Amino acid sequence: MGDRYLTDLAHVVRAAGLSVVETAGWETRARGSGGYDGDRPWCVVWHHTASSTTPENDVNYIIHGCPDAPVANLYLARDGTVYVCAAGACNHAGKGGPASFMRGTVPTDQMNTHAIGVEAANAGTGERWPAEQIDAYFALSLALSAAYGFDVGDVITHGGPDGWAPDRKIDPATAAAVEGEWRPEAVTSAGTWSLLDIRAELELRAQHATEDDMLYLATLADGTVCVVGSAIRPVSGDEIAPGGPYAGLPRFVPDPASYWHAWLRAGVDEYSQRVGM
Amino acid sequence: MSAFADYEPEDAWCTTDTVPALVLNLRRRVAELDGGNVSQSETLEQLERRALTYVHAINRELEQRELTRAAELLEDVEWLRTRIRSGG
Repeated sequence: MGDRYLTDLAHVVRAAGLSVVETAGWETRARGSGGYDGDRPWCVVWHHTASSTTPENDVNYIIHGCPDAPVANLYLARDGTVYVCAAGACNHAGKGGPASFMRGTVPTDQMNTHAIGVEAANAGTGERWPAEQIDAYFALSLALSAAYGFDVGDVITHGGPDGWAPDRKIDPATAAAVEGEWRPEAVTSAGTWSLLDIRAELELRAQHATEDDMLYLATLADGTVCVVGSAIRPVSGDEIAPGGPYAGLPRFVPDPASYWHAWLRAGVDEYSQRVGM
Repeated sequence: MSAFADYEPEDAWCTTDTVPALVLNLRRRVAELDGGNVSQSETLEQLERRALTYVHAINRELEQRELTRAAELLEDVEWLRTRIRSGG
């Protein structure tokens, strides 16, 4: 029995800026094997529900109605709201594999004890995927990979040769029904989204998120101005001058005794080492 | 409450589960082949025999999905038998 329950799941999702509904008892809910073992979960499995009902009905099925409940950790509604259903391992992937990720290879028929399962509300037969749901899917996946320490591209679907059990399932689908800027290719006649496209988009959004995070300016001991965030690089005087791309950003001057000062100092030290200052 | 149209007992299969859980899963997969009727089989031999009837029933023009289910079920029955023989 695994003993790792993701009891911070609701917090992780909420911190990503997503709307969250916590179902009663989610913190202790799991399949028969219990929580996760060791350093798991290693990845996220993207599913669709193949249903056309309300979030309440879907969530009820996930946590009570299905004979193998719980059948997902998280449920993503059509409006982008995330319902937290279970903190332990769930029955959503089953037979299939193997599949390799940053932390290792999930053996054949063992995905349920290695992955976080997300069920997104969609009939899968051509129902539109609203842009807000798609954006939430990516934001959710990125938040999970950041929180549990696996690679942003460590996701899997039932799509294509690299997918999990592509002979049994088609989700997520259909590609043609996806709305918004991101448009995945279909890799099956049923319209299954390309797993390669999902992973590429995750990488892209992760990079943008990193750049968006660089909202703090710090001044090095030698006077060099740096943008400090989850990534660090120096910016020129032109960039912070009026008309420059960072002209509107705040100059963040932390209290020397604060946590933020220590955090910035560490970042600046890292940058200094990197450029040999 | 409605079901997910694509849910199937194979989604709950995990080879690290207990033997009783795995046997129960196999029985539910046979029940799927039976068209939803609950299987009365009590032993793996019965499960295997019944699964074989589906594998050999190609002339009944089973759908590919049913054939895959039966073939995988046979593989898993054999795997589980080996596991039980080696101590469970």
